[in-house]
Order: sequence, then C-alpha cells, then structure tokens
Amino acid sequence: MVKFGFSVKDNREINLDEKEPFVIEAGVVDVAEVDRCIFCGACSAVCPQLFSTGLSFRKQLLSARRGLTSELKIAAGECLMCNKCQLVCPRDINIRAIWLNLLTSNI
Amino acid sequence: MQFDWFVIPFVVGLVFLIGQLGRIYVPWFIKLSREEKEMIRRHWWSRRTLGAVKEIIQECLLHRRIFRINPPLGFMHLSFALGWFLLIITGKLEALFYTHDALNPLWYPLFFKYFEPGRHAFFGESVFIQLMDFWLLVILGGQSIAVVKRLWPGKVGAKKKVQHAVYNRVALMSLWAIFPLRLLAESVTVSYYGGGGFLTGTLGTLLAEVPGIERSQPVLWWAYSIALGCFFVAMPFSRYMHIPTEVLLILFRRWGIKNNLVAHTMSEVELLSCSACGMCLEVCPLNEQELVASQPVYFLERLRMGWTKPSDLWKCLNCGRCEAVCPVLVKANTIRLKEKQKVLPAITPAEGERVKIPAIGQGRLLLYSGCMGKLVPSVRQAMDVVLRHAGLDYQWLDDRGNICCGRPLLLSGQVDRGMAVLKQLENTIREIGPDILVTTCPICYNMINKYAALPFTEVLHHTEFLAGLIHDNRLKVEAHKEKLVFHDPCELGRQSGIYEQPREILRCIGRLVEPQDNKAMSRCCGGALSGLMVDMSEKVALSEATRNSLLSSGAQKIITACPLCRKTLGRQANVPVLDVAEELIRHLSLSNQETAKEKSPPERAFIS
Ligand code: SF4
Ligand code: SF4
Ligand code: SF4
Ligand code: SF4
Repeated sequence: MVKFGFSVKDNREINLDEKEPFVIEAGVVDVAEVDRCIFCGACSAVCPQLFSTGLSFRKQLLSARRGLTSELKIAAGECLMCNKCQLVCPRDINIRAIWLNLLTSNI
Repeated sequence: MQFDWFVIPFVVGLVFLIGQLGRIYVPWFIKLSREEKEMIRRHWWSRRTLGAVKEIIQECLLHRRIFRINPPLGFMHLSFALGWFLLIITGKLEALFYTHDALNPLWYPLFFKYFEPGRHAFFGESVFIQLMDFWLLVILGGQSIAVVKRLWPGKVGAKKKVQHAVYNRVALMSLWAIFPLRLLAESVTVSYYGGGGFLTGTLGTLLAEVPGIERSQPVLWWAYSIALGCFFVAMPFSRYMHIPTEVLLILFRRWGIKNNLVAHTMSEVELLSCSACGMCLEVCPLNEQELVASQPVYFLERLRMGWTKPSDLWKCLNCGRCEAVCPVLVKANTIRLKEKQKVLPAITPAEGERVKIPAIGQGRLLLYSGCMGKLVPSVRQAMDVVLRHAGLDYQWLDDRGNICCGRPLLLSGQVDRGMAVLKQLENTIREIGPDILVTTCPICYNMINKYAALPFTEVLHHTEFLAGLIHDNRLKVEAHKEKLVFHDPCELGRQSGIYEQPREILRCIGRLVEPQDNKAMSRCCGGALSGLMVDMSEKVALSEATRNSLLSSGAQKIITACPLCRKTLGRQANVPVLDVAEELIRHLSLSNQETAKEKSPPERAFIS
C-alpha cells in the first residue's frame, strides 16, 4: 500500500476558553498572508519532512485557527527551509518565513 | 617657536584616534584562535609579507580594483589616498631637511607653512614647495570628483548614490573641509609672507589684494586644525575606519587567516574594511529593482552600529554578485550568515529527522538528486536515460527517501543543524562507498564539496560528469541548429566556479549564445534559497529581469543546471527552460549506442 503520510490522529482536546495567545493575533504571522491559504495540502505533499517528522503546514495552520497552537513552535523547528512548499503553493504563501518568524519570536 | 594653541584640536583628535585604534585592534589579536596565531608567527617574516606590501600599495593607495571597474571613481580614491599619503611623507621630509631633526613635534610638518612662513634657504626647498602644492592639487581634484559623485552620480558612471548614515556624513563633511581649508590657510599666510608654490603662491598673490585678509589667518589655521581633529574623532565610528583596517586585512589575508563560518575575528576585520564604496549596490539585483536596501554597503553599515533588521539578514539572495565586484573582497555573505546564526535560537534536530535510507549495495557511481530533484523529477529521469545510453550502472541515492543536504538550513542561519543534516548524508554516502558521486543539484554540490569529508569519493556536478562523458567519446551526441543560452546558477558558477563544463556540453548539441550578464556577473533566477523574506512579487520581478537578460542573446531555449533555477525561470519564461540533461537526451545519437557499452565511468570527468 502506498503511504501518503496522512493518518488518523488520536482525539485532542481543545479548550477554547483557555486559548493561548493566538500567534496569528500576536503579530508573528502575517494575517493577510495566511488568510490566503485554501488548505489544498500541496505544501505538505512536497515537504521532505512529512515522512520523517510529520511536519505539515496545512495541519498546523488549521489547528492554529482553532486555537491549538502548542505544536507550532515544534513544527517550526522541524522545517528544513527548502522552500519547496512555496514553489508549489497556489497562493504563494511564504511558509518558511512564517516558521522562521515563529522561531525567532518568543511566543 | 613650534607651538600655537590652534594645534590642540588636531593633537587631541589624533591621540583619541590612536587610542581608539588600540581599543579596536588589540582585542582582535587576543581573540585569534591558536592556529591563527601560529599562522601569523610562521608567516610574518616571509615572502608573504612582501606580497602583502605590494598589495597594500596597489589596493590601499592606488586602488587598482576600483580603477578597473570604474576609472573616475578609481581616480577619486587614488587621489585621496595617494595624495594624502604623499603629502604627509613630503611634509615630514621637508621638516626634516629644514630642521635636521627627526624628532620635531607631531604637528610641526603639518603646519609648517605657519611656523616657518616665507622663504628659507635649505636643500631642495623649491622642490618641496612645488611638490606639496602638487599633492594638494591631486587631492582637491579627487575631491571635486567626489562632490560630482554626490550630486550627479551618473556623471562619474555610478548608477546609484549611496545613502550614508548621519555619523558618516559628519565624517565626510570634515574630510571635505580639511583640504580646501589647508589651501586657504596656506595661501593667506603666503599672501602675507610670500614663498608659496604654483598653487598657494598664485592664490596668495590674488588674496593679497583683499584688504585685511591677514586677519583671517589665525581663523583659517584654527579651522584647518579643527577639521582634522573632527575627522580623527569621527573616524573610528565611521566608514573611514577602512583606511587603517584594510592594511591589516591584507596582511591577515596574506598570512593565511580566513573568514569562514568558524573563525570570527576575520569577519570583524572585514566588517571595518568595507569602505562603503557602493560597488556592491550597483550590481545587486535586488537594488536594480529598487526593492530592498540589504546590500553589503547598507547591511555592513548597520551592522557596525548594531542596527541590523530582519530584512538585512533574510532579504538577500546570497547570489554573490556583490562579493564578485567588491574591491576589498569582503565576504559579506559569510558575515551575513553568521549574523543570522546569532539571531536564531539553537534548535536540536528532531528525532525523526534521521533519514532512513534503504540499504543499497556497493556501487561505483551514485546519483544524488536532492530534495529539489524530487520537485523536478524530469532531471533525474533524463539522467537515467543518459546513463543507460552510456551503458553505465548507477545507484540512485534518494530513490525512496527524501534526503536533505542541509544547505537550506545553513543558508537560513541554522548552521549547526544544517551541518548535522549534512553529517548524516555524509555517513550514508560513506557506507555506500561510491567512487563517484554525481549530484544534479548545484546547491547540494556546493554544500558537499565545501563541508563534507568524503576522501574516497569524487564529487561531481552532473554537468561536469556529462561533459566528461562527451569529451571521452563515451556519449555520442548530435548537434542541432537551435540557439541555446546557458543560465549560470549562482551556486554552480560564482560559488563553485563551474562555468565551462555546461557550456562545453551545449556547444556539442546546439549553438551556444551568451547573454548580457554571464558567468561571474550572471543574474540570480530569483528563487534563491537564501532570499527567505523576499516577497513573491519581488521574486517575480527578479525572474523577469533575468529572463530578459538571457533572452537578449536571441536564444530559443534557456538551459540551466539547477532544479531550482529551472523551476523558477520556468514559471516566467515564454520559451522552454530545461536542464542540461533534459536537453541532452534530445541529442543522443542512436547509431553509436553499441560502442559505449563498457560498464565503467569515464576516466577523466573533468575537462581541463
Ligand atoms: S499549498 Fe499553500 S494554499 Fe495549499 S495548503 Fe499549503 S499554504 Fe495553503
Ligand atoms: S520549507 Fe519547510 S515546510 Fe516547506 S517544504 Fe521545505 S521543509 Fe517543508
Ligand atoms: S562591501 Fe565591498 S563593494 Fe560593498 S561597499 Fe563595502 S567595500 Fe564596497
Ligand atoms: S548576495 Fe546578491 S542579493 Fe544579496 S546583497 Fe549580494 S548581490 Fe544583493
């Protein structure tokens, strides 16, 4: 069977009342930029880290929108900065710049 | 009488400057690593120092490299440096010949005309007077070019005017004030006492007509001394630090001290050696498009003051055009990389990052296409066709895994992590133990070549390998009439020095035409990995400029040798953009396939 890198995850609890400072609101991430994302998943499909660490920008952005930001920083530390994701992204989102901003910020 | 109160500003400035130089330079010598100190000890009394002296004369005084690029600017730098230097030397000699005492006060030769006005009979007096005037004239000539450059940069062949920070402008103003004030002060003294050369004498005669001019004499000498003092005080904080530092830089370089990712002292020396001449500004593709001011001239200026911004660090393509023209040979991109490293936190590599590579047997020839190769699979497929055509057995390293060479991480500033990733790749290659490693990606090639230790493996870029095959007649190709232009990838050309091999291949399969900017001055495709914060619109503008430059040659196809360039340019161009290997498979001659059936790589992969 061909493995696509997508799998069923365990249930996670999202407590909307205890939402962490939302990175998107905290100015780390350019809102106008990530708002363009259509969640097509192309970025994750080409990402060399998807197989080894399960890094997926699409997934992280989706979670962040729902208030689950705890994994963001770890994900940022997994990116290899190869920029393949931006090359295939239909909405020209500069994904590795977002990861880099997350790394240098202290959120 | 060898003292007057007006010498005080000059003396104070000079003493301050010497103190500051000590404060800056002494820690450098202390911070040098043990190997570097050893290197100085071994080389300082050798021919290398002689070579350094020659280079110092050529670069610090004559400014040969600037001359070659832009003669008017070269003359401007030459006149200031050489003129001032000779003015000081001649002045010293003049004072020595007059007093027969080498130990006259510091200020005495400088203000000689004030202390010893009128004519005196000593050996060579008239020669000295004319010479001093001549050097002053040379400096003033250079200064007028400097003024023209500030006001109308186009007139002296400079496309862009450098916008200097305030403290640099203060230093510039005092520098510009020094020599006209000296001329005026000397002329006024001459108008009263006589005894000037062709310049001060003539001006003095004219000024003598002005009533009451002699009263301005003390004012002018004070002003001259203050201008000197101001310049000396401003110098350690301004770009004029390059004047003394460049001498040290050349000495260090000749003694074998390098600026690389692990050595830090040389970075600081280079940082202060940048004269903010602006040569890098002219050639930076990001500046041509009026996009960002992150060129070394600005970036280094801000770094000296500790004001760097994220855009200085990540809005640069690392294309290396600036380094290619820099007359001081500042490795600005190495400095930039180290600054990125300082900003980023240390990241421990994630556990899963360890790439698991399926066991493959021992092989003589290993093909590595890198992560970009996965994005542009046609290059690998083309290589497969070519290698089978040549009858070569090979193994494909990243057949089932996605293996990173670590360079993207390194360029983004995560140097240690990038090196860790490379180490894994290196270990994997060592386990397989190939004789030849062929990589289709110049980025991987550059990284492996520079930082990986593979003593038993010859690392080749696929253009080198293919050129070798064709040269050895292992691959028979047919030429078509199409006009092909080669786009030099930054990582392959400027950074690895491979210009000829791909052209060699193209000459065999078509008609090679050259664009406006080629080889060492080739343009970046716009997609450079290092341009992390370069916006998409800016990238598009860069790609378009590059495409236009390439198509100016009248080519029907753009050929490149980097999957990233191919992808980036391919989005913009209205003509086909292909990799060398992809183009090559269209030209393989089928008739000769049998002759190339032996199963071994070429004897000589390089074309000499
Ligand atoms: S490729 Fe671009 S648009 Fe698609 S999910 Fe990724 S970021 Fe969003
Ligand atoms: S830049 Fe980072 S997120 Fe994008 S494809 Fe490469 S490793 Fe994945
Ligand atoms: S980096 Fe080199 S080219 Fe650029 S301003 Fe400095 S000295 Fe001139
Ligand atoms: S490396 Fe290229 S993009 Fe960066 S400053 Fe130099 S010329 Fe400009």
